[in-house]
Amino acid sequence: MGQVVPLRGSDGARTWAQRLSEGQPAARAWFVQQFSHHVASLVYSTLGSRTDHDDLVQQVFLELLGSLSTVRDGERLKGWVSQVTVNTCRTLLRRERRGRWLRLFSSSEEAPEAWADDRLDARQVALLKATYSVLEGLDADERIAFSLHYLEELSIDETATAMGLSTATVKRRLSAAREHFREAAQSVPLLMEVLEAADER
Amino acid sequence: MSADDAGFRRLGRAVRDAQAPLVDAAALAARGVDERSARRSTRVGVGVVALAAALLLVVVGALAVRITPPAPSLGFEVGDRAGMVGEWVANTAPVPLAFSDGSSVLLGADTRAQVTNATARGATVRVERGHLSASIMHADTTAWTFEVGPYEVLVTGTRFDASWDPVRQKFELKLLEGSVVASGPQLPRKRVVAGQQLDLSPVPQTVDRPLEAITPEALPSEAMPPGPSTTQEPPPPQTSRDGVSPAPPRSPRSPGEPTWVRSLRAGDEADGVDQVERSGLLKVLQGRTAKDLLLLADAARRVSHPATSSAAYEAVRRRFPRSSESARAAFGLGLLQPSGAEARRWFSTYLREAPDGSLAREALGRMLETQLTDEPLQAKDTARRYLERWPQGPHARLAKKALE
Repeated sequence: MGQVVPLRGSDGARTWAQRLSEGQPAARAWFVQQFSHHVASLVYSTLGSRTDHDDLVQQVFLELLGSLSTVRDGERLKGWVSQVTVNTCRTLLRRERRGRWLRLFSSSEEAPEAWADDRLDARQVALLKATYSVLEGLDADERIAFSLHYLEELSIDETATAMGLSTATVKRRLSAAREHFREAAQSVPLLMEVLEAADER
Repeated sequence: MSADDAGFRRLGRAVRDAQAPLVDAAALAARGVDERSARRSTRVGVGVVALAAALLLVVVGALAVRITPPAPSLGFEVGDRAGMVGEWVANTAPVPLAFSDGSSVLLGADTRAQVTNATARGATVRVERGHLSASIMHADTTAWTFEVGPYEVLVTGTRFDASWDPVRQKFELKLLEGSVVASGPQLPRKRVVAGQQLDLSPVPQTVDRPLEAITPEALPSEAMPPGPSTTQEPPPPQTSRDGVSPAPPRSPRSPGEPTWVRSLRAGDEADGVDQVERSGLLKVLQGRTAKDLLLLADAARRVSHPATSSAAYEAVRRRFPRSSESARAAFGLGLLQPSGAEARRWFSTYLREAPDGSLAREALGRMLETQLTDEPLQAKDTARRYLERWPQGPHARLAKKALE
């Protein structure tokens, strides 16, 4: 993996944007390193655990790397990466939702033991399963807005940029997502326990 | 924030913490796999376009001329046996790769390399570490690529030696005949001709003979790593340029302390970081203390391994929220950001979490630096805040200038 020098300040960002648009191998390596965690995390939060998670991350990077020549503004790089990732996830969610309706069964590729992992305890596994099960029932845009804002801790502005929507629309989606999530969570004690616990902070 | 919103934020944090190890593992996998496949994919993409154009020509041309079969891809032997594309070659003794077009590549002892692609016009040879001597047969359409560490050397017919030392991050290229085009960190696309030698390492230097354009002055100044140089003054005793204390002096060995921690404490940062990257970063991120992770993150940042540095800082933030180390990691993440806006976000996080922390002065000064170009109005506020608290601080002059 190419090692490159981290640059600081807005000049640095512009320089990287320039290098990326020129397709320099080192800049590409830097790009993959810099955003691999962000993309993997966005895909997880937006879609949950899936057998094809790594393929999706791969697909996002192929799209990103294929469009690097269009990069002009290093300051907006992260927003652009989020946008491409979210678009890929949204397209997939919508396609799967259509397919599910047509076939009357779930086409989700969630692995049977998707969240079973030595690194997680039983409560964590239960929490992840319950959360994503509820999110599965939300409209694609509501689900994505909820995931970006609450799971990825993006601000309203950042969520709007990533989704290509206005902040007002994102606020409406979030409001609807909270309402629908809470409705569905009523029958899941673990979720209600977390939602209504006294704040530690 | 409403109680409802707070509940969802709490849920979000719990979900994020729970899935963090899975995301870490996926991200690490992506770093290796995505880069390689993306590079292949780019080539395939170009190849598809070229193929489409070629097919069109063939269809048109076939009306008048007889179609000739495509030339076969180059074959090659590793020592005395047939080689395979994609196979890693790692010998303790030198081993020759002999190609069917007459080109040869001698891999030095302890070199790890693979032929990643072979066409009728040439091949792509990737060197993960070690040394090679190449002798490439020239023809009008010859196209060879050598990926030596993070550097790329494009060849049309030549003889050269190249090496990559991943531990010292050192790249050497010596042209014996012909010319090549090389590119990579610290090195914009540059033609190197016979008689020239290139030596790029943490201490940038060019060696000997007329290296006309390939001098440190010719390289972009922002690409220069912050490593030591013979012309630099020694670092200040307490605080380095970025405001973070340098590696602490050697400390007595603690029982059970991994060797990479000992290396870092002894000041051998490149070695310590390399050990972690080779032995498994994920295990370290999940198992070590906040202090060890900060030690790793700071060292990785100083030796220009941004991915490792960033992963270690992020692990501290995730695993030890609300700790002083978590705030300190926010400051480190600020230093790593290529974008002024992102850097400000992290410095601001540090100031929020540790308003009286030992790096508060530096964090506010750094914020001011980036705001001067991006947010002149906010820069004035920051400048006032800075001068109120640290009228004699290192950024005081800058702050006064911002208020003029």
